[in-house]
Amino acid sequence: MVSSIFSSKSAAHRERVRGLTVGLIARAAVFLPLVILLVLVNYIVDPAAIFTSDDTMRDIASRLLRNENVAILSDHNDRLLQKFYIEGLTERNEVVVFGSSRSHQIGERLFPGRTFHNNSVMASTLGDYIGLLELYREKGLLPRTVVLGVDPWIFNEHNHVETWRTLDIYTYNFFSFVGLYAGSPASSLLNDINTRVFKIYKYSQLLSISYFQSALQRLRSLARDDHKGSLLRVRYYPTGRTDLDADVELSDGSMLASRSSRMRENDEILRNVKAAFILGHFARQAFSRRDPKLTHEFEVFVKYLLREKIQVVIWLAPYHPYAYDILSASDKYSVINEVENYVRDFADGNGIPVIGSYGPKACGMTESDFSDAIHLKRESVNKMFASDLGGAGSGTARLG
Amino acid sequence: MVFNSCQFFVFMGVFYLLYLAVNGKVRVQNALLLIASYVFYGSWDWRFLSLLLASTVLDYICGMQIYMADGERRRKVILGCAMFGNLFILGIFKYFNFFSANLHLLLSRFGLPGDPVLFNIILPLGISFYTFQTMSYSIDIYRGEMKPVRNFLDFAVFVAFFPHLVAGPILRAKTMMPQIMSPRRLRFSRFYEGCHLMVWGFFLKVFVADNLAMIVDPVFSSSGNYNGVMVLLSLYAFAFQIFGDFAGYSCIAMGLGKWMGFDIPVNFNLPYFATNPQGFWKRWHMSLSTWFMDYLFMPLSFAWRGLGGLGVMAALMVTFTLCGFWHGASWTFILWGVYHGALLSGYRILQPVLAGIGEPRNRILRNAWLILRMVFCFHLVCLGWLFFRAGSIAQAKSMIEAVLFNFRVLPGIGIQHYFLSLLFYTAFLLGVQVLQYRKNDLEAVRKYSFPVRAAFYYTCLLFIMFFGVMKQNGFIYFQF
Repeated sequence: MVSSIFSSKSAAHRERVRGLTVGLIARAAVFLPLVILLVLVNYIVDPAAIFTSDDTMRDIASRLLRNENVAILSDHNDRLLQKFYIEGLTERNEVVVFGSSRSHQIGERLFPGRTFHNNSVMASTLGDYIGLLELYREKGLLPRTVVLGVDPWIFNEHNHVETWRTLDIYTYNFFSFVGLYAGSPASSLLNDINTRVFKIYKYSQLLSISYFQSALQRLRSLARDDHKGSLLRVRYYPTGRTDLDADVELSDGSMLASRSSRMRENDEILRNVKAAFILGHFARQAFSRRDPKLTHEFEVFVKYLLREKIQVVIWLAPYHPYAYDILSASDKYSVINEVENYVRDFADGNGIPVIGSYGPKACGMTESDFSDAIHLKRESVNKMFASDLGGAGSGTARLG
Repeated sequence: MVFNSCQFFVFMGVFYLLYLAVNGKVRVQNALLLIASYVFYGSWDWRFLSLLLASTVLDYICGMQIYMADGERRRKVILGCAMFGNLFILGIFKYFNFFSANLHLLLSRFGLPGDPVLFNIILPLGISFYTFQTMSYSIDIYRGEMKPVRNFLDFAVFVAFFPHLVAGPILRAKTMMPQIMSPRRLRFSRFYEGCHLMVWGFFLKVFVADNLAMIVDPVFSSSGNYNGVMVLLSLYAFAFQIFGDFAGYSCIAMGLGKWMGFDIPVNFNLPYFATNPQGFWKRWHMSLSTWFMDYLFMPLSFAWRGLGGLGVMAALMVTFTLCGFWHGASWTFILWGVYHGALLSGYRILQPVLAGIGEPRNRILRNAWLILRMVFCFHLVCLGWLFFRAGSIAQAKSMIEAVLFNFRVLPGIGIQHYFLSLLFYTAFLLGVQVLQYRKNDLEAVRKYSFPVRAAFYYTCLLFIMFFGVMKQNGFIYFQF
């Protein structure tokens, strides 16, 4: 191809071009070690576990079902984990939580005497909630109460989690079941497309520099002594300890943050919050309006739950005061206020209790209640739920 | 679609294969280049394409009309229309809100309250670059320095040429049109040149600029109580951040141009090695400074030649105030421009005195004197960057006060860490630049044997792989 492109009429010139082409390939070959280093580190360290088999998630799920806690050392496909968990269930969970990492701190202690599981997944989308519910429905184990962690971005049309499209097929199954989007492509076709997209994404990560840097970070964290000197391949292990420098997925599905993140000083947290804005973590996806299509899907979903006599509780996890002040004051992000108003109106209209608020002041939270810009500490979540459950509410609605 | 994004790599890969496939067919290549440029620009916001097209059509027609017009008066009127059209677009999209808000402020001072009229519009990407480019085209035709372009496709390629479209360099039709209209020969040597420039450009952007942003931003985003040492460190960091960001973009643009068979002029020539403000402006953002020099400063100083030195200084002040304003509709940018105008005027006054100070004969002393002047000039430039980067004039003022009155190394604020980071992120860049300066050749590295160059590329790529910021941060100059 290259030689034909740089072709000329004379044989001598063709010969010269051939020589230059060989030179080009030889020069490129000099840089091959760099590419090999990149690919090998990305594949072997594999910080998001995208090259590992599904067995890893299946095993973690089975351990959770056996009431074990599991320390998880890397990012993982938590949608797949939830799928295996629900598929392995034999008895109904009376209370389940659907949400993002902002809902991951809600534990069974808050619902004494009731069977409970937190099904939150990282950076959740509305599709994830729907897919998870569909899994419960297909299993015939619909819960009695759903705590719905409503993050503003679930109404953002640009919010896509390209990494994990595991639950898409269940989301579409649910839409088919409730008669939404009749005539849309078959869910199997969509699933097929998603699988292909994921495969492309997955293998492109072999050449990704940001994946390489995550791998280096992971190597650094593995070099610490907490993980029994394990390197590379060990991504999780069952544990009874809660003081590890790794996130621990408790058997109730809630997440116990690593010791280092729990021990962070307020100053450091505030610095990180500011850095999050500086680095543009809040502006990765344009979010200028509440998407009408997603709003409709949300309403269909919640009304289905109500029709099935499932109690719905909406959880609005607050933002760090510094983050909230910027978010609510900036034109760029102020849609979150509109989302909260909408959610409250919708909840009021349907008799749904609401706990919390995106605004920390409205629910009595201060800087010391946060572990970073968007996550409350576990004890602060407990405090908020307890105050609402106990009837000493902070202006928010109460659980029935 | 920024240069340092996956989308751009895919876009460029597809485009370049097609471009090579039609090598030798200049018309087809130009059509492809135009489509690619519009796709590239439209990927930010397709609505902005209409502005780009409007600017293109306006100057294409005006250029033709100026050339064909009979009398001087008519030519002037058409040129006026072209200037008005371009400045109108720029004025509405970039400056309207600034003027409206300030007018409102002024009126309210005189007890005339009311709501300012503000447009809820986003600043179209690269608008300042392409409007200036098309304006220079019409002016050059008016001055008789070039003939208008007959083929609209060729002219549209000149305006929209995607490697430089959103952040310059500002190209001149005189330089680019012959390249666009004649068949391009793609050579391996040019391909290698392009690769060299791109590796260096990505190194400057992803390793130098984006890492230094993490030193600069926390200081500038804090609200008061500045520490002088931190302010100074962050200013040094910003000086290299903005250089890495903008020079990095220019290098990538030049590299892409080389791949396609174009020579895009150099935009930065070791600006921090300048020994005086005049030298700095001969080395910094050269495409912009020569634009202002040719189309504003020269006509003004000619018009005010009767005032002698005072006229030149007045021309300098006007030119640089507008240069600051070109960067953004904000008082901090205006102040930055005024500051540089004053520096250049001051230098003009002091030049005879400075010329009288002979250089030391001793080689060591001569070098020390040279370095001293460079360091002094660098600090003058850094003071300007403070106005440029500050969010408001009040912030700039309190930061200067911190440097003057609160210059203390306090424990616990991580000065050592900031200093070492600054050193780490700039050391290799400075090393390469010292070499370029000593050899008086920006291409010094490229002239070494392949093993030496390979070592250089390895170093750049390893820095990018291990320490580069991979968050696809936009380039600073996109906002202008």
